[in-house]
Amino acid sequence: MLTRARDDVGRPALLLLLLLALAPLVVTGVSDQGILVVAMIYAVGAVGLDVLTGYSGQFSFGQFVYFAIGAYVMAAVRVHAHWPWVPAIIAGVLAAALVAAVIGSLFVRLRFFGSAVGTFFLGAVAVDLISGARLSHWTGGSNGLAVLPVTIGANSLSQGDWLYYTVWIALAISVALCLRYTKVRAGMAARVVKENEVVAAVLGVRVFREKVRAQALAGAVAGLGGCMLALDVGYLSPDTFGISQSIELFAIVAVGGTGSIVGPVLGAIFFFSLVNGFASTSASASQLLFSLVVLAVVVLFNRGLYDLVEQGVRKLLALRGKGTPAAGPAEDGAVPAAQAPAPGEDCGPAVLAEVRPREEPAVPQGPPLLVLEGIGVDFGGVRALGGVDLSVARGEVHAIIGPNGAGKTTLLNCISGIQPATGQVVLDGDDVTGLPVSVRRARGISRTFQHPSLVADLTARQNVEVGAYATHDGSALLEMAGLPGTRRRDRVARERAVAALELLDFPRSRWDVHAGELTMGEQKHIDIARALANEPELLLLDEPTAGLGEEEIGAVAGAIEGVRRAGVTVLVIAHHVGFVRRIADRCTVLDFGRVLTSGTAADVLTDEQVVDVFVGAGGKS
Amino acid sequence: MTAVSQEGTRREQAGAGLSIEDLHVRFSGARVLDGLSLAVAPGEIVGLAGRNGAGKTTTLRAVSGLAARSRGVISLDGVPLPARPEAVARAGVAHVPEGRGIFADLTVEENIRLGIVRKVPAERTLRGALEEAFPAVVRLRDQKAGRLSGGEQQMVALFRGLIGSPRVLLVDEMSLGLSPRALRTAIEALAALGRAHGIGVLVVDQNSRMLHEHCDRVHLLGDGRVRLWEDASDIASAYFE
Amino acid sequence: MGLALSVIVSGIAFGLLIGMLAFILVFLYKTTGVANFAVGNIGMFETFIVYELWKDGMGLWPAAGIGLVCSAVFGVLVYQVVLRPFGGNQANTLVRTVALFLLLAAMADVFFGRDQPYHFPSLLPSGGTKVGGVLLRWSDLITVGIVLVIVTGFVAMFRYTRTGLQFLAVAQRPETARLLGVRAQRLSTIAYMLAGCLALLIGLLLAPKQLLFSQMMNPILLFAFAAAVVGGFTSLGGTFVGGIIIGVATDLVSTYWGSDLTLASALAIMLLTLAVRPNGLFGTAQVRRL
Repeated sequence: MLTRARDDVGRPALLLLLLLALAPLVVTGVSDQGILVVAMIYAVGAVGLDVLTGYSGQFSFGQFVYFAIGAYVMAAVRVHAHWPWVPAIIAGVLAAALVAAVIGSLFVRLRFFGSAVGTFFLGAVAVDLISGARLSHWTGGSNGLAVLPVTIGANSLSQGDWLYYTVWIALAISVALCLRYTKVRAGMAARVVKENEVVAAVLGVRVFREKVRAQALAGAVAGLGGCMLALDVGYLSPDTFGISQSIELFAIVAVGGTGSIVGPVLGAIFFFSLVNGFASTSASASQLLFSLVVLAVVVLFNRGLYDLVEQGVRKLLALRGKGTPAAGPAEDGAVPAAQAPAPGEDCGPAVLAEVRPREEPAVPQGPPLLVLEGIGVDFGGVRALGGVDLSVARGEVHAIIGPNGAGKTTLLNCISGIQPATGQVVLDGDDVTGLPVSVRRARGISRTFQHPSLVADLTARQNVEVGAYATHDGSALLEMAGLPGTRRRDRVARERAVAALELLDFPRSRWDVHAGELTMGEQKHIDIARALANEPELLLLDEPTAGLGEEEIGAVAGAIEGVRRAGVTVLVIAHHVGFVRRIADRCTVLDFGRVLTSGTAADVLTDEQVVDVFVGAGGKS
Repeated sequence: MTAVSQEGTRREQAGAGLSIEDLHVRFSGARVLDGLSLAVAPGEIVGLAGRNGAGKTTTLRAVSGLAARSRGVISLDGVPLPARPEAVARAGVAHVPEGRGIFADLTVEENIRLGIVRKVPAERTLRGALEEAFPAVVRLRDQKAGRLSGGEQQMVALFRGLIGSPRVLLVDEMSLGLSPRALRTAIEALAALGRAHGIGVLVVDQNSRMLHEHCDRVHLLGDGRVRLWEDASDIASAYFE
Repeated sequence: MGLALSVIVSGIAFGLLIGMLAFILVFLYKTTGVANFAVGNIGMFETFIVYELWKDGMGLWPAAGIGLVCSAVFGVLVYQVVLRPFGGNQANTLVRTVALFLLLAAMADVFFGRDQPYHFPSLLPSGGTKVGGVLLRWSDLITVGIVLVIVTGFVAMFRYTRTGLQFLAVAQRPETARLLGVRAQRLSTIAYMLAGCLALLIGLLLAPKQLLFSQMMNPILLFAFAAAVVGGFTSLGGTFVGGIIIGVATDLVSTYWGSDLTLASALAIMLLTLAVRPNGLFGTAQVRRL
């Protein structure tokens, strides 16, 4: 279900909207047009639900709550406060967005599954509240609430072409907003959150805030959909907004294809054509047919209708002959990994054996950049780290080696702020113990992960760009409006990303390849570039060589030397002794959560004790 | 047939025991194993060493069917092993996974009962031998396994692996979290039981000294293949290149 | 005071039904890794089958017996036809159960629902007895008894049978369980078979109290989710405690404040629990690795 998310659907979206604008020329029957109107109203909200599910990885089985809020607020302020219709619609949309943000901030703390249950619950509770006595002054209770007619001149917006094009405009607004969202920083950040929340936090993304933003956007467009529904039906009653509708909306998105913006619109049109095609026989028979289709789609091809259409179009274009621009990106991904030039020019096992020539003293002088004092971590009674002291000098490459389970990754987690620990972490003379991940990042600590956790459906370059923002604070609305300030920020991020990629000598031909299609070695490079793009003082690398072949290890070593020349201090966990010997100035050996020894790489690696740790002391005792 | 046939092993007939030939495993394009061949005869204890990330765990996971292989044949007593882990286990391959795979909420005895994978008539005799070899496990029988120390858990895991009278036992990261003494006790018991009951044992570890001391032979995994590691003192060429 | 006590007693009986549905949810979650939105409607659909048999002139007990067999088969079909093929990821499986939820409601509407809601005959005797001024209904007491028997059965299965032990193993460490030769798919099939039967039982106990119609299970499904979360989503025993808490609380709320707040109060209890104890009363934290 959480399939690929796309950010290249602008043209298909435009095409679909144009077709819908022209549809009344072909679809002339009043009832047929009515079907399209309802389909478009659902689509207004479905697009927002896609932002929530397909791009930020959250679930909602209660999206009709926000339809209800939009519709009821709009109708109520007109009846009770005599507002004109335009401010009434705006009030409806804002109210839906606000409630979505508030409720969203409650539910995002529940994981994937919790939010599915929570929203489902919410949908049922909302119907109870609307029909109950407590809000009946505003909502009319189970009797319902009449929607005052909306007119421009003598034309009612509740019927005919005027209704059709009003709803069409709402859909166009919703699609445009959501498309825009997928293209700005907030949209990219949300996709990192969807991939891995911890990684996102380390990249400075405000995980909580980005999730709530997606909730608010989805709520806002659902509220807009609710207003349109109010115009269309003319009379609001609680069972228009039940949990069945919410689940249908989710099914529409699933059938249309998540992460495609256009898919949910297709899904809505498909759903209502199907339902009404059989409406003559029986309403429940059409429901039956639809639920069968939903089940068939999620079992048999869970990528949905949009993917199907896209593949069809690609095949057609391929038949027409090559060179069509639309076929371009498809070909791009097909570059076989074997032909892709390996990053870094100095490859080969021979390189690893040679010891790096040192012009400067092996241990750099000056005050240390990072000082750890007595770092300790307990995992449920098991001592993972037992008082680690460590000092990393500015400008050096410092390696941490040790057997499995020695606590190396845990130590990096303590430094980057993911893992709470006892003891002190001092960066550049300042005590950063207890500061959150984002603050430590802003102070200049970046890191990579043993498993790169790139966003598979973003390109290599985009993945690096996400890491290149100095801060992920700021308003998503301003970003979507494209104000000069945020544009400048985006440009800076792009430039820093390019600089990082160039520093690592990442081959240009692979910059715009989706990360999911990169080799493991390339992914490790992109992970380093992503951490480097923030221009850190201290770069923490967690096993950059794990799972790589000798050639690729050579390339990573070359990359780290480049990083060092750029003046960045590096703390790296490694296992490959040849690699450590080549890149590291100093070396610290960790065993059973303690520092065994620390010193220049050459000394440490010949130390008898260290050899024991690497190959086992069991035989000696 | 394989690189080890030169060794004077206890192999009684060609194809008896576990045989891995030309094994290839890839993860998202990266070659993790690249033509690995290895054999473990009944009653033999074989060590597999290599630095972290070399693919030791992957080798065991590929045998058990937890990691998909892109090429190669893995067979037990000459019969190719299926690809599903539960079927591999039923065919007679026991696997003590990375981290030991102890069920913390179950008692020691329940953990051990889970190890009786198939009906074996010899079960009673092996249980007796195991209880003799691991007396601590008998004493802890009714404890929740999660409360045991790392060493005790390792005993339970080995006990559980052997109770079903497998043809072959795979042990991942034997030394992880064990004190040198506990490690020595465990591996000595393992080697003795394997020899006495004709169970082939494949032990994976970083600790090559321990492997050299207790195993019939040790292989070194590097660049996705294995080579026989004959000279135990030649540590430099094994790890430091 | 008498009223409040009576409400609490019937709340406990209702809470045990909730707890039983919550138990199914957690049991399926542990063995197949997904919260099944369709279990409520599975019970509803099976209850309709029993109703049809009874309406065609069959005795209620024979009809329930045939229904139980059908439910076992139905549970197997749900797993083998809907959930297993082309095994998707967790999210995909969740959506499959949601699709099944829709499908079963639509099927009930089409096949059985022409004149719904229906009055459903009770399997249990009516009336009750007064103990110290508190009315105890036979049906409530028998419900408590049935749930106790079922719980005992499950505890015995987990403790004394090999299959039960394997269930626990799969729930804790699916991968290691497979290494020990546990056939997880076979277990999942059994789990769905049992779940199908329990769901019917809930339907049969619930339908006489309210009415029989295609949406009848929606409220209790929500209560069951709340109970499962309150009990801690990983704790099988906790579901019944959660069920009783939700059952009593919602019964009191609807008696004294109005029925439009019952769902809201269940939601509030669920959210409060999560705020105070994120893993529920009896749940354990899920450890994630980077």
